[in-house]
Amino acid sequence: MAVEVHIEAEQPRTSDAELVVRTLAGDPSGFTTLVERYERPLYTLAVRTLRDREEARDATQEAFVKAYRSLRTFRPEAKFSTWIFSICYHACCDRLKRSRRYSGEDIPELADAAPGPEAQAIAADDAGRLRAAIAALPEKYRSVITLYHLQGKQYDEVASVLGVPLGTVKTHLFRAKEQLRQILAATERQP
Amino acid sequence: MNDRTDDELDRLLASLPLEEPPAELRTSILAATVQRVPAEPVDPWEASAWGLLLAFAAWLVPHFSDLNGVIATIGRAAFALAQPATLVWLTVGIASAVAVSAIQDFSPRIHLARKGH
Repeated sequence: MAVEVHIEAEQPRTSDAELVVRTLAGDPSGFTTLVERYERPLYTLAVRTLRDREEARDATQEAFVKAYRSLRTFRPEAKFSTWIFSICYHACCDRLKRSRRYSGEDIPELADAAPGPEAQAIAADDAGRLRAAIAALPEKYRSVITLYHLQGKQYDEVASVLGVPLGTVKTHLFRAKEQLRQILAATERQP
Repeated sequence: MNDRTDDELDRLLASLPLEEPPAELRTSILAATVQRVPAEPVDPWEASAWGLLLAFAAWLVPHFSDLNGVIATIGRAAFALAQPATLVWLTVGIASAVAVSAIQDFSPRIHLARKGH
């Protein structure tokens, strides 16, 4: 019995810049694809920065709406992911400031000593423990470690998104990992 | 877990799945962006009617004390408008405006729809 094998040629992925051009030309499918492509990464950045899923949902939507409205200002030579991550990160910062959980002077340098009840509940497995550990980090470390992986470990892209020098990104990342190790070790010691 | 090397921690972080957004998030983003219905522009006829009304009001206010004069002026204007020559020129003007709008797509409603906003 012959088995019919279908080999589907892999569709070349349309570049973000091309999708932007299509959107600006009046083709809504261009922006729809960008939403499909960046919805999860942006929501992840927002959840980890804000530690609140409702707020993260609103910040993600706000970022897409702002991006859509200012799409004409996007420079084709720039990287779309960096641009939209930056919009999302600033939307998150605005929300943190509004909710008075964030202050330029009072950003804690050290992670929360004891994880809250919610963090303990989700820390049942390795991924859960890691999520809880990231959530326990100070805001600037949470963002830098999330963006580092979302942006494919590109320090310069992370620096552009956060609006800080490259050296600061490296320092924050180093400290974030140190604190992550400490938190993970502490949670493993707990019964 | 605390004895993990930098690479191991990196791998662990990279393997962490992205957060799952709420089911309706994409729908609401698209509804607020590409599917947003543009605000209905003011109809050109409506704008013309309001313009005429405002112009009449602006003319009427300084002459409000002279009611007989106002009535006489309106009467003269109505008489002038009723003249065949005036009606012919008005018809020619309106027809020209409609023709130019149709040919060059001057309608604000059509213009906005094409821009997709």
